[in-house]
Amino acid sequence: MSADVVKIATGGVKKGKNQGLKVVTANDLFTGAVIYWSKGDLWTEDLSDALAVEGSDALTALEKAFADEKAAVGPYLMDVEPDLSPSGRGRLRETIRDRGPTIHPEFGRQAEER
Amino acid sequence: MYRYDDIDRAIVRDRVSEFRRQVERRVSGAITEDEFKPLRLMNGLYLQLHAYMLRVAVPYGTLNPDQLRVLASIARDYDKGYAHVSTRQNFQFNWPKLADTPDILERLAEAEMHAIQTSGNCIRNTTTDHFAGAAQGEVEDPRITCEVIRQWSTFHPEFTFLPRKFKIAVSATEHDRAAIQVHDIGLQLVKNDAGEPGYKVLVGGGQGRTPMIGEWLHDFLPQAELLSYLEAILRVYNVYGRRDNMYKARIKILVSEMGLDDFRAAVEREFEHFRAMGPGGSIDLPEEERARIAGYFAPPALPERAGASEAFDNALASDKDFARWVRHNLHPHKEEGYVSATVSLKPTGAPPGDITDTQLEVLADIAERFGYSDVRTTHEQNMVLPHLALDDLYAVYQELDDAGLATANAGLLSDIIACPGLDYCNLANTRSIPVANRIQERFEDIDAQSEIGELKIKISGCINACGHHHVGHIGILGVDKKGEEFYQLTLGGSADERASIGEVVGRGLSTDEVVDAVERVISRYLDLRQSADERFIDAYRRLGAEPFKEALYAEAA
Ligand code: SF4
Repeated sequence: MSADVVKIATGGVKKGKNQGLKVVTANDLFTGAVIYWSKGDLWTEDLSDALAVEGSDALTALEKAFADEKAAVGPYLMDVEPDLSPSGRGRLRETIRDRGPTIHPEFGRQAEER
Repeated sequence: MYRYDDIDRAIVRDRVSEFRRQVERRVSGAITEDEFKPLRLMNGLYLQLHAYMLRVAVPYGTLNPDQLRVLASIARDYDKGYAHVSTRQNFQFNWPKLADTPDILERLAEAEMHAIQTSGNCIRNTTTDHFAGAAQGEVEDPRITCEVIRQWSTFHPEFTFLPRKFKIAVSATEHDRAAIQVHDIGLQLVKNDAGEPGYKVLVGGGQGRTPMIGEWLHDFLPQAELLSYLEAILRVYNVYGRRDNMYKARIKILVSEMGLDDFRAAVEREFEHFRAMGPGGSIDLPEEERARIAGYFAPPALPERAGASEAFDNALASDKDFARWVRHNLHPHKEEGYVSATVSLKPTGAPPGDITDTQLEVLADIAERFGYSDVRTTHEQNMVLPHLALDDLYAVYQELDDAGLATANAGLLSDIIACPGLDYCNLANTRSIPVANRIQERFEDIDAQSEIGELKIKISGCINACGHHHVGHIGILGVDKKGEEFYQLTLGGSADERASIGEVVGRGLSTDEVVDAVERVISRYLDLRQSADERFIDAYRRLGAEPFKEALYAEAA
């Protein structure tokens, strides 16, 4: 089976296919904050710094993220647009994860921009 | 209320230090996430979308002022200044950090609280009537039974890894406020012809993906045999319940696959096994132990009062807002001159069930000064002051009002149950809370809501049904359509003694359509009701779904 049709977890209970541009996301072990895999095999809280990858590169990044258990919990691949904004079926979920709860604009990263 | 004995204190303390070491081992890398996850879940620590979530057990929804203050201090010191009442009468914190959790648990333990068995496939918090001990017509205080179950089920070694989670609810009045018919086991306290208290036992109710109303398993179980009968049911479930498919693992599926008669026969066989052991050989409580536990639930020493209060009458005549609150948020008390009051956590535009640290402290003070130090959480995500003198009521109301806790909407359409949904929950399809808020905004005028009368709207962000949508008079279920939020309406559900599962009506509605649709259903009801006394659910039962479906979709097209 080639990398682009591998079934993957896409967060929560949902499954998807490894097609298109992906970012590895997880939660920080200590704070629970949403984090993204970035260049240099480091985690970032800034989605715009994330590493966008496709196909077998996405699976490799995911594997590395899984190996970094000391920092992160539950890594999976999320869909992104070329500008790194969340896309696809998980767009709303990933936007809320990144920004914060829509009912509490005073909390989460959305609050920092207010 | 129940106070910890040395055993309770020791097991909770031990559990905190055990968890502290488990967290250290996870952080040091000595154990993996796969190993750690079940351990943290056993201590109520989930991981949600943005952060960890800690669920704190509130046994049968009863709290004292000191406990409220401890919850407030946790909200302030370790969270973002608020906590949340869940539909299992528990408290949830939405932003704790992993490293702080052992300290939080330690603080809880000092106030005789914990997070044990608030997650995982074990027996969860037993819930009951939030007016327990104060309501008229009780066979006895149902919390005695709940506490007996709590002690039996805590760390029960045989039932730590059940096929799925297991929920028990107890009601002691004819009017069921604990939704016992949609629980794995529902217990209804009744008296037999000789006037002795015992239980009618329901089994196999539940919500989620396959909603079912429980079936009567036993007509009269003597109180003394409660634990051996529960143990027999749990044992049958533990042995025969499905473990191959988590969606078919609840006891309701086992009961329906076995058939009620065969299930009952299997339970009876186990029950006989306990009976054969005779007194002292079974796991039933000795009478003196039951009496000791019951002693903790003796009613507060309420001074005798007249049925009427001049202070109350004067306030009622002079303050319209107070009169409105009195009309909706009070419940009759078994003692003359007293009432129980619902403290609504449903002001328009706020997440249903949220309460701030300051509000928790205000409530603690009020309970201490006026409420005999007794506060409850409700499965409808509100709080209750169960014992208030009519003479004190206006003072209580004014303090609640100053703290933003006097919304006069108990039982009205803005008193919505909504699960956390996609604003927090990892499993969600859609958001729930914003829909609740938009409905509240649409019907903001409390007098207009009062005109509509009792109406229970319940919203879940996915089929797990934590928002109890199946038993909402109007239920709203979030569904995902290619990444867009859609909402499926159900009508005619009910969680009381005439429990019913709502009927799914038609296609899913978009976010833009859903509030209009609810409004159309309500205006059709207003057109069709026979009088202002005929509640929505009564009219629905009389007329069926058809006229409401028409209203929903004719104009939506
Ligand atoms: S009903 Fe679904 S979305 Fe709502 S809290 Fe439960 S699991 Fe989460």
